[in-house]
Amino acid sequence: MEKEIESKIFGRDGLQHKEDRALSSTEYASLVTLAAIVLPSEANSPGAMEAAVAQKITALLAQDPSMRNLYAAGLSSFSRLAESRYGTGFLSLAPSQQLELVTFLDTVGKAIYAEASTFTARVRRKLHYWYYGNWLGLTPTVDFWRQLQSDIVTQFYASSVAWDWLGYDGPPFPLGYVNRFNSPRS
Amino acid sequence: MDVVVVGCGAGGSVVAKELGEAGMSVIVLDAGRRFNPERDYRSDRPDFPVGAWKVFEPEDPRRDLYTAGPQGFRYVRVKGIGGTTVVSWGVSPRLHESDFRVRSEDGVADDWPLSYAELEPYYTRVEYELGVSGSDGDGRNPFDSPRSKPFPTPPHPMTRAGEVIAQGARKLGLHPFVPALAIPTTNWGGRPACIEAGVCGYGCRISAKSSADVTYVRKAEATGKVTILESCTAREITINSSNRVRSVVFFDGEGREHEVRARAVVLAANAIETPRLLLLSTSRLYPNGLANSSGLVGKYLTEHLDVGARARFALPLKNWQGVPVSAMIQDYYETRKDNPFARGWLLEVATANTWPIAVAKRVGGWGVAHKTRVRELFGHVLEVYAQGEQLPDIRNQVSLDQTVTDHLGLPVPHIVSKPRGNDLAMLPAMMRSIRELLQVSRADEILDSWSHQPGASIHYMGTCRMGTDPRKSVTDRWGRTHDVANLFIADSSTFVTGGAAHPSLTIMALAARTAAYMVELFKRGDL
Repeated sequence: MEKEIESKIFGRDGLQHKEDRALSSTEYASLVTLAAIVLPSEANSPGAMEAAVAQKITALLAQDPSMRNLYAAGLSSFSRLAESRYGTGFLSLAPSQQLELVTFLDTVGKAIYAEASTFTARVRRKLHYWYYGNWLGLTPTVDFWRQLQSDIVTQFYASSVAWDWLGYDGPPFPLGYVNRFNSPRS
Repeated sequence: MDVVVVGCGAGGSVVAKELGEAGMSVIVLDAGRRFNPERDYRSDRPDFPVGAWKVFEPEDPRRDLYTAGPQGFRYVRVKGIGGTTVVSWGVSPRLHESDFRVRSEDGVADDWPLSYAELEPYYTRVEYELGVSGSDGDGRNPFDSPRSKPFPTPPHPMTRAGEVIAQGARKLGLHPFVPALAIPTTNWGGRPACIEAGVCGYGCRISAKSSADVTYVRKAEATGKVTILESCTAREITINSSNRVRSVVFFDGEGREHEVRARAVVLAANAIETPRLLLLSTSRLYPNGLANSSGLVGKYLTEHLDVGARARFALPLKNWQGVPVSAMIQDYYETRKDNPFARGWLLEVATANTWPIAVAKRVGGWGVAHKTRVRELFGHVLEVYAQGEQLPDIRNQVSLDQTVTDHLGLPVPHIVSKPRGNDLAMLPAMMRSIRELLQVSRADEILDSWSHQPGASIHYMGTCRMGTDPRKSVTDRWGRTHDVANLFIADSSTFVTGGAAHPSLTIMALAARTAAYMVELFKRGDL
């Protein structure tokens, strides 16, 4: 059932990468790498790769030019950041450096978007925003990293691969859950 | 036109249907649009939790603007045909008998100008229109008010989450039960039985849930006497020199102004929009707002005190299955002499936002740590809410903002609501009861808890209270305004107190009673 629904959403060939429609080879490879960082495959649990997350996102980008442009710019900014910090493109970094880079972006994101309930905290956030955002120009990369995480998570947890791993029955409609309390997935 | 009704939610739809069936011509205005369950409620999609709520948001965000006092206010509602019933969880308890006489019994607030017994036939009438499910047998609510007829449809099965808490509750000597739900468990009124999909909060795709749009609205339109106009926003109620309502002035969806005359007008726009419209309707006779000679239009905004906690259990709960609320406890509902406060609260077990995407987004982060946490939480989390009675206080109120306007240039509501004396004494006890229950139910981990946030209860009441004294109330015991004989109110604005029970069923019962009274007045030639 879930696979039928997926094929309706993404099309029967939606799991195949349509590189020519959306992303360049480099962009696509970066997306695959980042998806695997967000949701890594492990010995006993699937990750973005098994759920074909990068292919699904690419298929969606092919239908949405503004999103496609956002991704192209965002992935490009990742590479520029890697160049500026390590002297080489994102894909050429060692896995530990790639992790270090996205961890750095997380740290910056927390600093510039921190909840600030006191005056001091608001001043600190403003200073961070000025330094990281205006001075280092990192805001677009941070924003894209956040968008990317959200999209990867959405695609992974909307897949039958993730549902099997978690033991989820699938969307509530059209079948509902009457008499399914002891379904095979239990 | 005989009657214009403003608002097509729980109250307005009932009035429209009852008056239409009595042969009166009715126009219903609603500021929102009509929803199409097949097209709009996409809970058949694998990614439905992402953006499912967007369908209820206005095209122009200025439509729903409001301002709040220093405590803030989270104003949650759906504008559209069916109103907030479209996204409610369907929980439909009746008020208790004591709720109607809190002054007499407990010396606080005010008594209602009617008794539970007077409202009971209308509760029953509404329950049978909606096909409310509930238990009359062993699993019944021992604190339920007297009923003249059994529930129309059997209770839902208690979910695993409900069972876990129910077992703990029994150890404490409490009496858990499956609550009354406006979600029939058998085919009802030409609609299918519930399939336990659990997404009531996003609109029911198969119209099993008895929201107003698929129950009263359908019947109202079937009379051929009721016309429902969507995306039409009332801006003023006008009166004539004889102190009677003459017309309703409204904007259509294109921003064009219209005026419709009627022999009577019923306001049912909710406890914030109804007083707003009255305050907008100034005249030489009513410089401070229509029907406001008491000065109480907008005053006594009352909601429910709302605290809760989320906990993880080692036992798999399969918490995405079944109705969102399948267990309730009313042992704390009434005043207890040993409490340092009056009145009380109910507890309910809820399972919402339990789907993989929702759990993953709440966990946040990425990497192995993210996956590990999602695996721990998915299917293992439930929420326990305590919903308490907030006592009315004249300082909690709705007024017109002096500077901010909406997309039509109308002043937006300014909302002040905060817990005060009795409420502040009750809130810690509410949270203690939740923690005690989770502890005895062997929760592995309390993930988080939340204190009362003004507005978050979604239950807004009391801003045009009913009463016998025109100096101390806005409407009489039938919902007719003291000041203007052909102006009625049929929403939770008229509540004198809020009890601790969810208000929808009471709104509908009062609306049915108001409509019956209006029919009598029409027959007597008094309208």
